[in-house]
Amino acid sequence: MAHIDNIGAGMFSDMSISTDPAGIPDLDGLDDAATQLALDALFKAETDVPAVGSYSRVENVREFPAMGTPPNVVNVPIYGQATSQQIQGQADAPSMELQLNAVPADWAAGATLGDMVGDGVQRVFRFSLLNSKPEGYNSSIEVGSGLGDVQNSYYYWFGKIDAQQITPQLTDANTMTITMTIQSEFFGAYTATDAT
Amino acid sequence: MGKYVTTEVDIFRIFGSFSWTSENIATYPSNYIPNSNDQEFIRISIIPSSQGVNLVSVEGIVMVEIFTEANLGDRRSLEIADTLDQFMVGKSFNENGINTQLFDSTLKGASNPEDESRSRQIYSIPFKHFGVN
Repeated sequence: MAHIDNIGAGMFSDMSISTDPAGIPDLDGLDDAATQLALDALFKAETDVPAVGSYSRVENVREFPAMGTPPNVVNVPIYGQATSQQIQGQADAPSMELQLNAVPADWAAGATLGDMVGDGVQRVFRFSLLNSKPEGYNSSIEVGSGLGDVQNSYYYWFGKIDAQQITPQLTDANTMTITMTIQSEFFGAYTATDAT
Repeated sequence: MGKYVTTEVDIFRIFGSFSWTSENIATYPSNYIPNSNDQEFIRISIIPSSQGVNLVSVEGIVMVEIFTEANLGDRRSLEIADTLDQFMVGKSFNENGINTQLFDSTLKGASNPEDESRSRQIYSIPFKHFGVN
């Protein structure tokens, strides 16, 4: 498939985190296509055991934040003109908070995701916008296993998981807020195409 | 095709598929007289009752009436509802930039004034049809 070419709800959107022991790749000097290849290589196999090309999905997401670089529009007065001009100044890094329906076992000490909280390690994150359910979530062209099974658009960035807060609910599902810090630009949007 | 017919075609595509017909559940559209010999059947009504995000979009509910033999409990109706979930919940149909999406379902009991020998439950699932202009 290719990028999403229609209006729709991103019902199957996904957040995944690389667990590749190599950490974040060196992207210096790479063009767009090479950057995508280097980052795609980190999302080849969904598993809880850190290994080359492995990643973990953050499941049970209740609400995603806005993805991407936020604007910081600065008005610049121009002498003699009726209206000022505008430029895009350096934007504050966006706060990235995920609201989850809490499954404490996924975030327990000793669990892959739980151990990431506050460990200070930079990782590669991937957000995939998906209107349809793929057979799998790999950034690959392998038929029946990857995002390429359906129309998809995804982004990468480097960051850390810094905080985890659980909110008990007495009459609803318990919720959890995961706060991430962002330490790079956003790479993408990319798309995975199906081998067929 | 306009937004109403396209929506109907997308949704009926589910029930025309080989995998659905293999379930052997008699399936009728609304405003159609079912075969009286069917012990159980479903009847599908597409209700495009709300405006969409633009002039070529529409939103609404797909209502599936599930008729099963009366006085035998609800299990069979629930099984059919679960089967419907497999075919409908979260499904998208997109072609040429036009997209119909089905969301999550609910089920409720209802009376059956047409035929008291059959129990009637209503399975409903919201849909959104998105066109581009």
